[in-house]
Amino acid sequence: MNYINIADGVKGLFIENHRFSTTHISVNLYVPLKSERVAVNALLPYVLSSCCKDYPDFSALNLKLSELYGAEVGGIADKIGDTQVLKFFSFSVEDELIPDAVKLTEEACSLLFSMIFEPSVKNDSFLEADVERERRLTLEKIAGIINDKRTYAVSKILAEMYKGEAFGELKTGSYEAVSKITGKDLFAAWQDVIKTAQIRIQVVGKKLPADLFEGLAKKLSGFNRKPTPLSPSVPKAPNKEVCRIEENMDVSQGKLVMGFCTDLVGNDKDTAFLAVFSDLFGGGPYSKLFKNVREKYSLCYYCAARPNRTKGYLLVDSGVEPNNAERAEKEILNQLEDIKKGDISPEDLAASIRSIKDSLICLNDSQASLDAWYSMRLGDTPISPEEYISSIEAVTIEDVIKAAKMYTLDTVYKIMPKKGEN
Amino acid sequence: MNKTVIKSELIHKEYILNEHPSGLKILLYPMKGFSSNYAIFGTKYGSVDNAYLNEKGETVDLPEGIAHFLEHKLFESEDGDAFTKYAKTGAYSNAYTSFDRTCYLFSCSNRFYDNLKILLDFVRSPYFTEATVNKEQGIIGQEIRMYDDMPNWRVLFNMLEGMFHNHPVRIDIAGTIDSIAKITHNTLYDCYNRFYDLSNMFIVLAGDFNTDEVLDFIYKNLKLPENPQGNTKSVMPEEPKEVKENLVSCNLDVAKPLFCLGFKEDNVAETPKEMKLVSMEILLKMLAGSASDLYRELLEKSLINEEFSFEYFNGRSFALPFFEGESDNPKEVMNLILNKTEEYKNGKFDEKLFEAIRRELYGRGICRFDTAESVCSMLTDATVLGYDIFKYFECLAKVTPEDVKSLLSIFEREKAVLSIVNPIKKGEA
Repeated sequence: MNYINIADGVKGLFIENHRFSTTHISVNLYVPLKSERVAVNALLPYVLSSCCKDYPDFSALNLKLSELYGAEVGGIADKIGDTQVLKFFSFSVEDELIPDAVKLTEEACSLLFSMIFEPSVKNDSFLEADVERERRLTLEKIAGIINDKRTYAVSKILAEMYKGEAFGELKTGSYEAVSKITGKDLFAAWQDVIKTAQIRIQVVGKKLPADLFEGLAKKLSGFNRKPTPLSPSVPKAPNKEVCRIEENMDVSQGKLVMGFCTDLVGNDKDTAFLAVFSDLFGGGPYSKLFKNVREKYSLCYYCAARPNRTKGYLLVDSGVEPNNAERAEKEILNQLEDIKKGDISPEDLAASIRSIKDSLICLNDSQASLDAWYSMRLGDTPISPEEYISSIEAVTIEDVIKAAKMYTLDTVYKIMPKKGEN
Repeated sequence: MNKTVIKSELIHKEYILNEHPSGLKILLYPMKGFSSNYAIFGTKYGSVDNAYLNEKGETVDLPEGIAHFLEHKLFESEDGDAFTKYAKTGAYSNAYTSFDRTCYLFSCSNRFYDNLKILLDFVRSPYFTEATVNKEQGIIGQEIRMYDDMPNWRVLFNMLEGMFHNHPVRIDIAGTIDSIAKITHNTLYDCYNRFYDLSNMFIVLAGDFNTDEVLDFIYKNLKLPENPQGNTKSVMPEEPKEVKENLVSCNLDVAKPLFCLGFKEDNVAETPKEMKLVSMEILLKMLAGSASDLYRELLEKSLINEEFSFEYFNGRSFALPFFEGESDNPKEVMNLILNKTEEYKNGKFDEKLFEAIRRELYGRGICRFDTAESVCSMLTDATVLGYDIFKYFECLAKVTPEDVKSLLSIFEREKAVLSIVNPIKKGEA
C-alpha cells in the first residue's frame, strides 16, 4: 500500500476492507504545532463541522444527516508530537444496504467537502453566532476536565513537563486563548490552514468512491497553496531534579501520575522496543505494575504505563489509597529497577508480544481505528499494523532492558484529599 | 444437537441458536473474513438480583454488591487467575457486572479454541476462600472510592435513589464498603450455585469460525454440575408508582453543575419489548436529538453543552428514560423538556423528523453488525431481555407516529426526578 500523490503536499490513501457496511473518509490537515496557533486552529474543525454554506443551520444539517440513514460528518483537532492535525471525517452506509435509491456515499462526500471548503461566512469572517456557540462549548470542555480526576491529572502533568513548549498546550489550546477567538481570526486561520497544510485523504471501505481524489484536488486548486514542510518532533531534556506537584481536592481516592522521558523519538520500527517495554512495565495483566503494585501489594486500584512515541514520554498513572501513595511511588520505581536488572521472564515477554500482536491484528476490524492508525503516522510511506508486528516480534529481553534504562523520571503529580479527610 | 437458524429477510443477516440440555443458550454469529473473534459467557444475574426466596419460602436478602464481588472472585480459580491463562494466548479478556447480568469475555485474533477453553473452564470453577475474599474486600473498597469521586456516576445513582423506594436498581453495582464487608466465601458459593445455574446462562460468540465445530467443542468441554440445583428466581420488592423524591442534590469538585433527569414509568418492573424500545428511541431523539428544536433552543440559551445526552435506560425488570448533562440551570432544562413534551401531546408532532430518525436508527442499526464486539453486545442484550434482534428492525420498519405518541404520558412533572451535582464553593469543605 502506498500514498497516491494528488497534488503538491496532498496525498491519498485507500485502505481496502470488505468487512464493513459503511465507507469511512477522512481529510487530515497537518500543520506545525505553534503555541499561538493551537487554539484558533483547534476551534476550526468544530465550527466548520457544525454548519456549511448549503446548511448554514446546524439543525438542518443534522436533519439531513438523519435522512441519509444516520450518516455522520465531523471534525476534531489533535496533536501528533510537534504537529497539529485537524481531521474532518464522514461515514455513511453502503448504498446497496438501504431500501431506497439514495446515493449515500456521494451525498456524504459532498457534505464533507462542503464543510471544509464552503463554510458559512460573511465579509471574511465566520458568523458570530457559530463562533460564540463553539467557543463556549470548547471553554466548557476545558473547564470540565476537572470532573474526571484521572484525565485532569494526566493533562496537568503534561502541561508541567512541556511548560513553555507548544506541546504543553491542551489539544484545544488554553482557556484564555480560546476565549479571545473572533470570527475574523478564525477566517484567517481557515485560509492559512487550507493554504499551508500537508493534506492526506484516507478512505476505509469496499471501494474508492469515483473521482474522490480528483474532487479534492479541484477544491484545493482555487487556494493558491504553498504547503509547509513538517519538522520532526523534538524530545525534552529531563529535569535535573524531579519536579513534584501536589494538589489537594475533595476526593476519596488519590491520583499519582509519574512522567518519565527519553530522548528517543521516531517511527514505529525504531521505537517498537519501547512499546514492548512499556507494555511489560504497565500494560497487560502480566505487567510488573499490575502483578505487583496492584495485585501483590494492593497499593493501587489501577496502575498503568502508557508511552508516547512522538515526544518520547511515558506516563504511569494510578489511582491510589491516599495513605499508600508514597509506598506506591517507591514500588513503581522498584519495578522499573527490576526490569533494568533483567528481571523479566521469557514467558512474560512472549505474553506481551502476543498481546500487542493480537490487538494490532484486531485493528482491521474497526474502520475508525484503521483510519486513526494511518492518520497518526506522518512518515513518507504508510506502515500497516501487520508490518509493525514484525518489529514487535523482533524485540528481545536485552532490548527491553535497554529501553528501561533510557527513561528518566521527570515529574511526579499527585491529587490528594484535603487535610483532615480520610 | 438442535440448531436453529434465525434469519432476517429484511436485513439479510442470520445467527444460530442452540439450546444445551442443561438449559444453557448458545448463540453463534459467523463473520467470514474477520480477524477477531469475540466471546461472552454470561449469566442473568446482576445487582438487581439482591434477594431470593429460599426453599422454605422465606425472603433472603443479599449483601449489596455481591454479584460484582462474585465476578471479581470467579476470575480466580484454584490453579491461578484467568488473566494469567489468557496471557499465554494473547487474548484480551475482561468481565463486568451490570444491573441485570454478569459477563465474562475475551476477544482474540488467534488460538480461539484455547481461549474458549479457558473461558468455559474458569466460569464453571468457583474457588473462594476466606483469605482471598478478605483480600478482594480491599481491592473492591478502592474501586468503590474511585466511583465515589466520579460525578457522572454519582449524578446517575442519586437520580435512581430519588426515583425508587425499594427497587434494587437504586443500589450501586459495587455495593458499599459496609455491605461488602458482610460477604463471605459461603455466601459467594450460595449465590454461585443459585444464579450460575446453566439454565440461567448464555454463551454468545461472533467471529470467523465453523459453527458445527464450535458447538461440538462447547458440548465436549462444558463442565456440568453433578447435582444441579436449578435456577433460583430473585424476588423484587413492591415498588410504589410515585417517585421517592423529585429533587436530589450533592456537592463535588466539578466545574459546572451536572444533572440527570429521569422519568418514572408506571410499570417500573417491566422489561420493555422491541416495539417499545424502538418507539422510545425515536421519541427521545425527536425530543432532544441534534436535529430537534429543543436541542437548538437549549444550546442557544447556553443551557447545555457537548456533555448533553439521553438514553432509554433499561434492562431486565426496569426501564426509564433520562437526560443528562452539565448546566448552570438544570431546572430550566427540565422545564423546557416538559414544555416540549406538552407541545407534542397537544398535537405538534413533526412527521418529517420522525421519518428522518427512523432512517437514522435503521442505518446505525445495520452498522452494529460490523464488529464482533457489537454483535455480541446486541445478542447478549436480546438474550437477557428476552427479545429478538431482528424483530427490532421489523419494528423500525413498521413503527408509526401513534406508537411514539403513546409514550408521551411518561413525561409528567410529578414523575420526574432531577438529580444535581453542584460544584463545591470555595471555602467550603
